[in-house]
Amino acid sequence: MAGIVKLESGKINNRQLAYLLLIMVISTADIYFPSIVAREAYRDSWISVILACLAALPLILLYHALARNFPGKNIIEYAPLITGKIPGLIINLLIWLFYIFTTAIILAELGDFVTWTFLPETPVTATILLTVAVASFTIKKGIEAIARLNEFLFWIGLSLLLFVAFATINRVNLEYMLPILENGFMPPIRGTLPLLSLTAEISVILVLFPFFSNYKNTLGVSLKVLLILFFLYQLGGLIVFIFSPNEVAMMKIATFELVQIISFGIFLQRFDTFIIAVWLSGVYVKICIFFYVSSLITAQIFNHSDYRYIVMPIASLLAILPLFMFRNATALVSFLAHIFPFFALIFQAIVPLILYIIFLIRKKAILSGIKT
Amino acid sequence: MKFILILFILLVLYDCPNMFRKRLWNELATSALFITVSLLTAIRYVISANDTWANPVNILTYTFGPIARSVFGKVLSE
Repeated sequence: MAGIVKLESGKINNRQLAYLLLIMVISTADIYFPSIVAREAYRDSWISVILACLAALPLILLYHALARNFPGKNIIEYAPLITGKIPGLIINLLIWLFYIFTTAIILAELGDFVTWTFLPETPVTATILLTVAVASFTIKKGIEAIARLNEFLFWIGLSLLLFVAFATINRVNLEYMLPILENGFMPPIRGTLPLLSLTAEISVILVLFPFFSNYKNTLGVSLKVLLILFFLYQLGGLIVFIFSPNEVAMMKIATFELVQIISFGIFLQRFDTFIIAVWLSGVYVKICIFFYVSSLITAQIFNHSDYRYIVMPIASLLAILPLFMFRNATALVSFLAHIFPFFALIFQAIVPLILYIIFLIRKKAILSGIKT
Repeated sequence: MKFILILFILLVLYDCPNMFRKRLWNELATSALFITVSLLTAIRYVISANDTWANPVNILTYTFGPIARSVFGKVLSE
């Protein structure tokens, strides 16, 4: 197993880490998830947001508890140390598959979004191929390049998100909120799962931990990120009180419908083009992060001297997988709503939890093994 | 479209001579494996787009779908 520090020498600071985590989660949360959550939780979407953030809290503590015991190593390196060589290799291969599939799913989301909103005549193949080709060159420059690119894009994205929220806040009708918990606790709990799987994408820190220049403070950073995500989710959730829960549940991309109605008088309107261009840049950064993590894991598992050699072959796989995976846009949304949370949470919650439990049981043996 | 495809193939093969010159056989073998899998997947996509077990999402759906159904229960089956 190649050491991660040998594969990449770049470091990112806490601010860059916070920006990366925020843009990674919020970029896709804004596209499909308001409708997906509204379909399950209906008018209680805001309760789903609270539950999802509360459930994400122990997961973040778990990631840091694991990483703190193995400084300078990532999950691909310490999984075999905790469980043994063969089970560790199986876990690593499963984690690798998870990241490859998740990158392909994000690419499929991007392709579908672009085709549905702006380029209906352009083949989705062209959108995906070009995105993958450009992303390959970005990730070959390393984690620092992605973090710096994101530092530039983050503030533009965040200010536009706040702009959308404040431009539409006068349309919010809080009467849609009542009656609270009309059908009991189950609908908001069902709405929690898709949001939790999205928030738990913070689990990329399990792979990226050795690149944090100040890794002792990353727990505080992650918790602040979770708090900001909570407010941003609630801002996004206001859409349910603008259109009504029924309408949002029937929409495919509710946020797109929302930005189309923003106007100031009759002369300032059609902000959607500008806002969606910025959203796409956020999704692009997310693709870069997941693609980068997939390449790093592949290079580690196959014992490579440099992860850059495997970027293009993985790009070829990522270019074809999104086309092959979903027959149409409905299949994609249905997958995101019903299957993805269970698929993702196994790798975001159950695998790290099992690793931590085994670590606690075999702590002395594992730590003495590392020293020798 | 054809131009984009040719450009992409060239990009994928861009690193191969480098790996060959530096005698990075491990890297070259892994790259060959990935490119072969991608090509086979692409050929299958062109020949037939019917859903089968070979589709990765079907594998995920059949694996994680029963968990989803058992948790969501009636709501999903409706």
